[in-house]
Amino acid sequence: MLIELKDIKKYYHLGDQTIKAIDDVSFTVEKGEFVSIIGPSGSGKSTLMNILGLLDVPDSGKYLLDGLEISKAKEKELATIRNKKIGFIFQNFNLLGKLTAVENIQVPLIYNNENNNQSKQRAIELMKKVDLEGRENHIPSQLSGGQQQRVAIARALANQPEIILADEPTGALDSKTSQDIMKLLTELNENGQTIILITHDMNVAKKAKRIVKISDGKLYE
Amino acid sequence: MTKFLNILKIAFKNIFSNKLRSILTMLGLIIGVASVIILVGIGNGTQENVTSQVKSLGTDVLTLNIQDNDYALSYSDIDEMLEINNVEAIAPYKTVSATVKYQTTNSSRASIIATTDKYMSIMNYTISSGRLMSVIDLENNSKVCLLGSDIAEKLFELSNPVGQDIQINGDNYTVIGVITEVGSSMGNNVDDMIIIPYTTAKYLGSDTSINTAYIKVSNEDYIEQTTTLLENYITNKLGITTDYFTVSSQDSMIDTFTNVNNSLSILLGGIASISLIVGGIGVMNVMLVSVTERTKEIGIRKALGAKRRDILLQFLIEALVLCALGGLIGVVLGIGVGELLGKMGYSFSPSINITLIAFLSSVIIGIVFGIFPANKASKLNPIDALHAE
Repeated sequence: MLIELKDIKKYYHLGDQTIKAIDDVSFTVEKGEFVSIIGPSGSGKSTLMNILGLLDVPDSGKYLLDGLEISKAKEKELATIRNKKIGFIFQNFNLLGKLTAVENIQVPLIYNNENNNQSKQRAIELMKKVDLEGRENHIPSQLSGGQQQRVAIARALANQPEIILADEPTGALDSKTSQDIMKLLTELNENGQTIILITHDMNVAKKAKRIVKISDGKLYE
Repeated sequence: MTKFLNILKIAFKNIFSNKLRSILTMLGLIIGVASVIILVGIGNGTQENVTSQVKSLGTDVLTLNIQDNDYALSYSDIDEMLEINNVEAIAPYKTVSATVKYQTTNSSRASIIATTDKYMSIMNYTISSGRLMSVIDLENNSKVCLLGSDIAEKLFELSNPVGQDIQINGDNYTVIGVITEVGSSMGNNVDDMIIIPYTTAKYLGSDTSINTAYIKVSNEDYIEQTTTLLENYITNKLGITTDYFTVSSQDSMIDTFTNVNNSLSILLGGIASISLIVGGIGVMNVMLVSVTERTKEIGIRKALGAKRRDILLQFLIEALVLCALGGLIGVVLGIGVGELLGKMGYSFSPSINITLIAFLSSVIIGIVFGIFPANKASKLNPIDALHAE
C-alpha cells in the first residue's frame, strides 16, 4: 500500500462556526493506481489534496506514505518527502516565471542536491518525454498553456516520485489541450506511475481507473 | 554547492531584472560607503600634508611662544638660553605686515619676518642668489632684506634683485639675497615673505620685544629633555608661569593636530556611518516588499521540496549580494570622487583599512537587515503562499 489515510480530520474554525473540511476520512491507494477524487468546490477536496501533498497537516488521524508515518514528521522531513516522493501538478501550472523551462524542471532536482550538469541533463530528457524538444530555453510566458502544463508535468516527474498529485490539471486549458494532457497522464500511469487526480469535472475524472467522490468532507467510493 | 550557486544565480537574476529598484535600494549604501571613504580620505590627506609640512621644519626644532602681555624676552634672555644644554641656536621671530614696492610697481602688502642670522639655518632655508644675513647687519640695524622666491619674482620679474633697493613702508631696503623656493608651510607661504634683521624691525613701528623664538637642539634625541630645561629656565629665571608660554616640538604640534583631526574624522565618519545604517533600513524595506511580491514563488518552491533554510538562504543571499554590490559601487565612487577632489587641490589619501571596513560594514548590514525579511519568507505557510496571487 502506497498511501493509507486513517480517520483523518481537519476542521477550520471561522468565528464560532466549525467547518469540517475533512471529516473522518479513511482512504488507501495502491502502487500504480490512477485515482480521481471528484467533488464540487467547498467539498474539502483541496484540503485533502494539501494533506496528501504534505502541505498541510491533519488535526488527527494517521497518514502512512510509502510506510512512513507522516503526522510525526518534522517540517524539514516533510520538505524532503515532498521533494522526493511527491510530484505536484497545479491548475495554473505554477512555473517560476523568470526561469526557463529547463531551469524550472531543475528546481526539484537541485533541492535534491543534484549538481547542475546532472540536473540539466535530466531536465532535457524530461523535456523530450513531454514532447517539448526545442523549447528548453523558453520562459513560461513564451509557452502556451498546454506547453506550460507539460513543463509542469516534467517538473513533477523530475525526482521520480512515488505519486503524482494533480490538482485540476486541465482546469485552465481548452478541451483539445485538456485531452492531450490527460493522454499524457494516462500514458504515465500505464508505465506504472501512481496518480491522484483532483477535479470537479466528471469527463476528466472518468479517465482514471478509480473514482472517489468527496462531499462535505467525506469520501464515497 | 550547486544549491548555493543556484541561489546566487537567482539572486543576481532578481537584482538585474529589477534594475531601477536595485539601484535605488543600493543608493543609500553607495552614498554611505562613498562618503566614509571620501571624508576619511580627506582627513588622512590633510593629516599627511600637515605632518610633512611640519616635519620639513626639522624635528630638532622647538618653538617658544610667550602669551604673557607683561613679559617678553630680551636679547640677553636669549643669550642666557644659549647656555642651556643642547641648545645650538635660537632665532627670535616676529612678523609685521607692511607695504612693499620696487620702483614703479604697485605697492602691495607683504609679511615681513624680523629675525636674526640664525633663522635661515634653523629652518633649513638656503639662498638661491646673493648672501645671507650677517651679525653685522644685526649690529648696525642695517636696512637689508632677503626676499622669498615668489615675492622676488613679483617685484623684479626676470631681473636680478640682489643689490637693488625696495621700499618697505616707504623706507629703502637693500636686497641682499633671494631664498630658494620653499613652498607653503603651516598656512604661511614663506616664498611670499621678506626677512629683515630683528634690530631693524623698530623702523617699521614694531617694538623689540620677543614673543616667539625658534630653538635648534643639537640632537633630536634630546628634544624632550631640552624642552624641560627651557621650561624650567623660563618659569624659574624669568618668572613666567607655565600657563603663559609654550615650548613645543614639531612632534607635539603634529600630535595636537592629529588629535583634532582624529576627532573630526570620527565625527564625519560617524555621520557617514549613520547613512550606511539608513541605507540598511532601505534594503530591509525593499526585501520585505520583495518577500510579499514573491509569496507565490516561495509557495511553489516549498511544494517542490525547498526547506525553510533554502528559502532563508535565498533571501538572505539576495540582500547580501545587493549590499555587497552597493558597497563595491560605493568604494569605486568614493575613491573616484576622492581622486577627483585630489586633482582639484584637496588632499585626499584613501585608507585601505577604512575602505575595507566600509565595504564590510555594507556586507554586514546586508546580513543584519536581510535576516528579518528572509526569516519572514522562510516561515510562510506553503498553502497560503501557493494561493497568493
